[in-house]
Amino acid sequence: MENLKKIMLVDDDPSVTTLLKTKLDKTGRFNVVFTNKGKLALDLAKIEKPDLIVCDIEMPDMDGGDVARSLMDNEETKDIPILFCSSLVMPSDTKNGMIGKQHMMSKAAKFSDILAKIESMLLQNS
Amino acid sequence: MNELNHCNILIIDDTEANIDILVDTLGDDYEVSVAMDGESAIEDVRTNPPDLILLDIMMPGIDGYEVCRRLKADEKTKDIPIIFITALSQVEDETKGLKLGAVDYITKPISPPIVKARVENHLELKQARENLERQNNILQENIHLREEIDRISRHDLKTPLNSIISIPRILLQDSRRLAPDQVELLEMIEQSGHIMLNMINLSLDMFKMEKGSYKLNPVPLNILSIIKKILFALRSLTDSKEIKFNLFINDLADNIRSASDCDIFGVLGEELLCYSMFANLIKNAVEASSNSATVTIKLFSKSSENEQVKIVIHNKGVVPASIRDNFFEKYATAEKKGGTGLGTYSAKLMAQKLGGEISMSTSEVDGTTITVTLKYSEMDRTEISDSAILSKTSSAVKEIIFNQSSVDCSLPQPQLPQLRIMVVDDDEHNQLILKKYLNYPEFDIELADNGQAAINKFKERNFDLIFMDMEMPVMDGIEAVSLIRKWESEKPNRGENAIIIALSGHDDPNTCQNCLDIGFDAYLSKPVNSRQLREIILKFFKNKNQVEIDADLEDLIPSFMGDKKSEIEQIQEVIRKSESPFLTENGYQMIQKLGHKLKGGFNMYGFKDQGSLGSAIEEAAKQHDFQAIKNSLNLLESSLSDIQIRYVNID
Repeated sequence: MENLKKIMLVDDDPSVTTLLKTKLDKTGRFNVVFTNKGKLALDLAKIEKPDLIVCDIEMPDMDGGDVARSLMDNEETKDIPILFCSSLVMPSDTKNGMIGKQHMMSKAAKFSDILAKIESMLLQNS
Repeated sequence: MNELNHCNILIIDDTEANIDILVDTLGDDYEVSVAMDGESAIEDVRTNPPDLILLDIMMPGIDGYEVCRRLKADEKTKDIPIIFITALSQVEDETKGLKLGAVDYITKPISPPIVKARVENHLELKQARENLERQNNILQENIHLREEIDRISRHDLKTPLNSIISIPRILLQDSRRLAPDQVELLEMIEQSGHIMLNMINLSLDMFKMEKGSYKLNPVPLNILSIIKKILFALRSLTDSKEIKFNLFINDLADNIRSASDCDIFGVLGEELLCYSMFANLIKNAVEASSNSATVTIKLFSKSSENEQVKIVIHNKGVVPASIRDNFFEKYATAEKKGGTGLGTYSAKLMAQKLGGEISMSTSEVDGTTITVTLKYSEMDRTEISDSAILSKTSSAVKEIIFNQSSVDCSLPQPQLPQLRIMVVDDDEHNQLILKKYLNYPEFDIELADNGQAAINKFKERNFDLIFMDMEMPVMDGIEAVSLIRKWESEKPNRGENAIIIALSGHDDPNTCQNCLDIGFDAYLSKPVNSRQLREIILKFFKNKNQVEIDADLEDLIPSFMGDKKSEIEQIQEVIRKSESPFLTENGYQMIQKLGHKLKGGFNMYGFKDQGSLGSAIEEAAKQHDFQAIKNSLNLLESSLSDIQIRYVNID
């Protein structure tokens, strides 16, 4: 159990967090926590200390960019890798899950691709 | 009766005494010639046809009856009036002459006054008849000409125009391969094509109005909402010139105030005509204004003495002196780039058709004022429907309105069924355009040049869907469809009947109904765009609306669908609350966000079609395209209504 990686999901749409949690739980390799409020992301990250954060970009209370900046500005959370998962981009817009220097996946991408991206990011960071 | 002087009269008689009397009687008034026997008379008539023939019956050789019969049998001479000269004792026999085609008879002994009178009568009759014939010919020529114009503009012009409009759109679909200036040039071609199409449609409506065959169906309209639609449609022009609009209402008590969103200004008219007329006039006013100027539109309520409302459009420009006097006349134009001189002319025709008037005054000091009067109509809020403008077919306005939304081709690409499709059109360009539009891996497409070729292919193998042009050589669409339907009914075991969709340059309700009666399943008016094609395909083949969803998500789907349906309901709520056909800025923003949520959610769960529709709603809201929002929302709802979910293991 101790080698389960902890993933934190941030998305205002509960149907999205539910889906990702269901699919990630199913793999048996992750411990998944989530929030539907961008503003709570920093506090939750400080408590949970996840290995990776999957974050939506367009959220009503606080957008994904601001969430990421608040995490990076904080000593406790600045090293947690962030994967943006957004419907603003299409699967064809990303290359190896990257847009520029950002880790980015489309919400329209296949789950297996999102999972592969998460695995590879965790591997890089360990 | 001066003209009768020049008439030629031929006397055919073997009796010199008779000839003398007749020549004496008629010689002063007419050109008279004589033949003394039947054979030579017939020859004379053929070489030099007279205007009238006086014909004796009893002659050596062939008699008068035979001469008459032969002349009447000859196409060249049959119309020359013949008067028989007959002895009194033969009057009974005269019915024989009249039956042979003679117009009259004169009895011997010859009475000069009677001969004169009868000859004159018949020459006049002949001339009158010839005049009538000439007029009849002119009329028939006019009818023919009119049909020609209709045909040329509907079909001959629209068919190549279809290519001009469609091909740039096809090239632009892959705009990443094009340099920015190429994109711009292609868009210019496309726009010019649309302008031309509008002109053709407008001139056809005008033609109908000129000939009096335009049928008006007046209904109560809120002219204020029409004007707002026009201002919205013109916004790119007005923005580029920074034109400001003032919209005032002048009520019964003569108070002038700015028009607000909830104002209603009822007139009796046709929405399309009103839109077209005011769009012309307001566009002119904007074009005549200098940059940053103001255009003022004032609506005057009906006065206590009559039932007319007045709409006044004012701008500070001046109408050039050269066209002031004939401002509303056909082809009157001055110094305007691309001006056809049809805009104001058609505005006048439309105003008159609507039972109103239009006038113009212009001066250096006061600028230009156009005044339109229209019939007043009571109107209450429940009668206002934004869809009314789209409910009637035909006319330029439809094009104008549809062009707003039809420009966007990057619309959703819902999952398409596997189909065998045949495109039947005699125009090579149309074939290629349709083939391009239908260029999806799911479709197996075959082309045919005419109805006969289509039937041959159809008998070889089944097709699910046929797009059929109406006017084609060898065999037209109507005949082909009836034969295909007949063939299908004789082969009951061959599976489902093909869906056959008519493509036609005519878009009047009669033609449309006629097509459906004959066996077509639907009717599209040319030019068609890729979205129309996709929508009609999905309409007929949506029963194959099945999606494969990850089995891991099965438990989540009911509550997920509940969430999505509530988001759809929220969009409908926003639409319901809107009063005009345009939403508030806030409304568009809300819909944009909800569309974004629909897109993300559906895509993640694997509902790709619905995800695309969510994306289309988001995009349409961003563009403030109200109609497109409603279209996509309808598609989304109908796609969810009969969706079949199959859970599969995806690893």
